[in-house]
Amino acid sequence: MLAGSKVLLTGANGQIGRAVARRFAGSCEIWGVSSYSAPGSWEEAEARGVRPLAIDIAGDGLQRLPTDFDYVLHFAEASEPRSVAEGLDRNCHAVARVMKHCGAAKAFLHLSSAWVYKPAPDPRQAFAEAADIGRNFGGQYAASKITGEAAARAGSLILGMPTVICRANLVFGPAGDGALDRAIDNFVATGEVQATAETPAFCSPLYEDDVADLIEPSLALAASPPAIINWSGDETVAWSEIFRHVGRLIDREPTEFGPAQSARPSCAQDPTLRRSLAGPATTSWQHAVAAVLQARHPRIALRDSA
Amino acid sequence: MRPGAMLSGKKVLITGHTGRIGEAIAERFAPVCEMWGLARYSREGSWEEAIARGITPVRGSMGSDSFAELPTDFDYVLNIAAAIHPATTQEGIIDNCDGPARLMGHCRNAKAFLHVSTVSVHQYSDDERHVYSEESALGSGIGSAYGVSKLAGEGAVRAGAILLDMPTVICRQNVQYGGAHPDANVFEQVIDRFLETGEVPVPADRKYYCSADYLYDIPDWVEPCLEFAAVPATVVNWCGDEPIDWLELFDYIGWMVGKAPIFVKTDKFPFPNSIQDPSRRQSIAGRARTDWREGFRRSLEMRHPDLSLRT
Repeated sequence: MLAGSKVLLTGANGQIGRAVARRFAGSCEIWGVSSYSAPGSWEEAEARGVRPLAIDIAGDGLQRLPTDFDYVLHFAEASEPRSVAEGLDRNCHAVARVMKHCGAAKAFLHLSSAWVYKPAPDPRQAFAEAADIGRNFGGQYAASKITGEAAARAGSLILGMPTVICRANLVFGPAGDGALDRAIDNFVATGEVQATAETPAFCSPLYEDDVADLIEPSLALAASPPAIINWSGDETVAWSEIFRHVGRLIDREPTEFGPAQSARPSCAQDPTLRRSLAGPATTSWQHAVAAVLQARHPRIALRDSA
Repeated sequence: MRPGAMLSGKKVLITGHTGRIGEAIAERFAPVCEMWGLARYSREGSWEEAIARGITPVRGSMGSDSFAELPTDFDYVLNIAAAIHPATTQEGIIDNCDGPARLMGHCRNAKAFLHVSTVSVHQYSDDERHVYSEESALGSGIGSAYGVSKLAGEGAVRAGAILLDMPTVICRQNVQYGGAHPDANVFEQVIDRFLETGEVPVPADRKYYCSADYLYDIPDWVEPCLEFAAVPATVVNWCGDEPIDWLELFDYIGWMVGKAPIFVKTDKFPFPNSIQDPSRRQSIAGRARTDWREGFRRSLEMRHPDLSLRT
């Protein structure tokens, strides 16, 4: 589907953006928009075969971009908006700006979050795509992502653009800088693990390479009004269980600190739709954790977890 | 600007004009402009009422219709329709998010789009005297599927404003009261029940404050808000000038009708605290015309003309 096509990738330097670029840059023309503020990130993007563009999509920088993209993969977001205005601008208005600029695209993929779902009394509840949304999480994050989904819906309806909204759980892997990767790094460095907002807090994490497998099947779902698909792993696991496993691998007992305001509450998702399109996840969370440790902390000899 | 000057002679689409706020606005402006109405017209007689009021009615459902019978050359759009009791957020989003987006797309040449939203889009504060300004945190704390779907609706019209370069204003409505509209809202149902039984529900665990606005003041704000519309969308609170203390309100109503309220604590109090900051609306449209004491008096006179009120 993407082979030979012209693709706009926003958030190109984020975890998912990089995983997607690694998979597809060899077979299609990817224009990668990001701030590229991290030293060396521009060169890394070029090395991956991406055409990097340092553009602030909250400003008027989009004018520097061509308009004739075949597909748009919109991963850029403010993951910790500092104000209502910033949340709306970066997570809602920016969606509309990108859609407007690329109005002729064949399909638009909008990255949303699992943390838009309305919390359930049972923390193990795995939310399907039709479940109620609505929660307060991460300051203005969840609220602004709800307005972002709405913007993608509006763009799809107004422009007649096939759109798919992908609600991602925790995505992690060796290349990552997601919440789980950072928590693993912090545990390795300090022995501490942030307490969760609820105990136990469940999630259904997804390995970064499995996300790349989902791009084309998700784009194939795109419709107007938009389709929605959960991007989550096959297993529901407690945050504390992940870190007990990490502890076994590195022979260290996790100590909890917190609770912090930003700590994640439970949010497991039903992977049925994802599995029906892309098959079972290729990497269990246990293997993914080991891969993260091996890649990011190569000096640590991992114990046999079995 | 002279009241009525902006909409005078213009082609105006109003949605939800069979509801309370929509009716008050239609009553004010239908005589001076070419007003078209979009609604379900499911209440018997509402279609004929629209025609009698000088409105050209078009039957349609916001969330799913093609609007084939609706012209596209409106000067202004007043989007007041909302599904206030969606069973799920998904259902609410079809009417309250997709609907406004479809409507904006259909009326893409309009000079301005006014979208009525709700104070329920905010993140709920546990402080019963918290004042919600236009910049207060958004969230999902107030209301249920309704509040979330209206938050999505704000996202949709924000996107529409940018996509279509259409000046847009989002008006966040508090709870309103007033008039003899056949659909008594929850606020008026509580008043009616007090008149019948003397009982007034109060929240078991807190005091309740709101910034209720008098229904017939709302039309005063329509033109100044349309003038305030911009890209990206602007936001204006639609609320009364003063916070209202629920106990004080019913002491006052009780005094007028000669009946002492019996306050009954309940865990199922229907309203979240909702004091709103009126200062932006005051700066663009002036102070509210009607003080709440006067507003509730007139409201009682309209709904219960048989009562003689103490003055």
